[in-house]
Amino acid sequence: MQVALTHFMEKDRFDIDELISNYLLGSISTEENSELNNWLNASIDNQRYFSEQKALWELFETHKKMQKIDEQKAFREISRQINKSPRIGFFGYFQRAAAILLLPLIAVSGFYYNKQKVDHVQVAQVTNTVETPLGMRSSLILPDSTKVWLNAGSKISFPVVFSNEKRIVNLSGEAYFEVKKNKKWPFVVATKNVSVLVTGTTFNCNAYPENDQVQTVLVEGEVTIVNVSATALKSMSPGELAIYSKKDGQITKKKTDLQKYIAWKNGKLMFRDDKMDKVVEKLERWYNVEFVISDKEISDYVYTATFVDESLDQVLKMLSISAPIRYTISERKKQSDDTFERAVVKLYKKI
Amino acid sequence: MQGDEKQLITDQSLIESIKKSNQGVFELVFNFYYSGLVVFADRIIKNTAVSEDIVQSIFLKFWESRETLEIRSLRSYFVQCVKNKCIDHIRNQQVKYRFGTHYQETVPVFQEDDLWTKNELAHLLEIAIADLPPRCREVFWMSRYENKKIADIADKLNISKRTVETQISKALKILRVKLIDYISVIFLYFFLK
Repeated sequence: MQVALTHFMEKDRFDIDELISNYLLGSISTEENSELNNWLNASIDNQRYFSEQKALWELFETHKKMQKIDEQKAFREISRQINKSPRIGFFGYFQRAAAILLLPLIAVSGFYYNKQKVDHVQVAQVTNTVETPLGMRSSLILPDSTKVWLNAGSKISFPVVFSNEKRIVNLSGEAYFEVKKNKKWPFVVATKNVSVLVTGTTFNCNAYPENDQVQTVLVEGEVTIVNVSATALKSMSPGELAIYSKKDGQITKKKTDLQKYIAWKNGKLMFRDDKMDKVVEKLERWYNVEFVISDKEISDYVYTATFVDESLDQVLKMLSISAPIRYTISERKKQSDDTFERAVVKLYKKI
Repeated sequence: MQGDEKQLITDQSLIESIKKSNQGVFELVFNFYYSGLVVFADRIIKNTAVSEDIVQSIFLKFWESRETLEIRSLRSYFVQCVKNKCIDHIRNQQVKYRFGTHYQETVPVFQEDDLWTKNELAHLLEIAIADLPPRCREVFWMSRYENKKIADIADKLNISKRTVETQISKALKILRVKLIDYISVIFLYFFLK
């Protein structure tokens, strides 16, 4: 908005913006002050301009005031009144941890609320993204020296510098984490549906967007799983598998054979009583091929095997030996851009 | 914000969790709104300690009656509570000191839009400040956030006091353009004293 500054008698002896800013700073001289008064009395637009600058100044004063307020101390005071005997221990801790995780999300919701006010504001955080294509795996070290193994067709993004309060990484797909221990610096793996909260531990998180579950297995330490709406919250012990179901939004836990879930990071492909459709899903990512199950019945076959560094052909041979399955592999056709299309493996019932 | 990709936490889900006595979520909501509400109350009460007490009592009551609360929006709920409490407080004060002064009904005009939370405001202002020319930003920052006097800034940067003043006024001019939509134009003429 352009404001026509109705000027004042003396030509340009005073810059009006400087007069206003000196007034706000409290460094205005008597002479300048009377000059400002004259200018203000000259027009209603001048008065409007002045009060807007004052409101702008107030915005910064408000911000400064807020920074001086100690929410944590205030919360301790009221929680003392709420819990006559304060509840400590795991549950309390993890609920607090969940709160830490949710903070950025609620900030987002706050902005959303004020949408018309702030929706053109861009978030200015520099993040790194590492992506593994299908058929490949990789490992990396995060800025806090946490080690990450990334499975095929997965993506992880993390800030170039972690904030002081928490370490948040975003995961789509599957990754194995060895988190650098630091009790005061929670590590959060955020997926689209659930988040895993840890302080220092080793675990595997499987969150491919196309799956209807998010699976987390804990190798050592402690973690907490929480869904985005914070309605479901589970803490896990080592050796447990937590499954978040996207269908009903619930988290269930059970003891499990860890190896099956984490073997991939050492280049092993492991199946333990897995149904063929799950086996096929893994093979598709591992070898970057497409499977077609021609006879529906095959999907229900249960399969157990471990492969180390075998080629797709060898794996398929093993499959056909141990189950009544036949397979064909399509010729990889050359596409218009000179790349080859993905091979298609068809599975049939052996007759 | 692109709404569809990010799953936003709704007030409803937060309220549901608090109804189920989830203290973690309660703390989260507390941290999000507390300082904003205190400053909001302070504009009416003009006493930060009293304002803090008022806001804390609102959150205490919010927690204690969580099971029976019917709330649509946390923001408007808290703003309404703060307004009511502040008005009560002013009335009590006036009753106390009524002797010799005449009783006066003061109902401050404040709207929900006047509530800024710390996160929202920090985000907005940091981005606006970041765009200032370097020298201008440095001077403005020292003056507004490090509470440095004009003379101190001039000393430190080895420039004249007048240059410091010019830079601050330049900063305000630029910030005005960026933030004009957020300056609530309650059109009041502040008489200079």
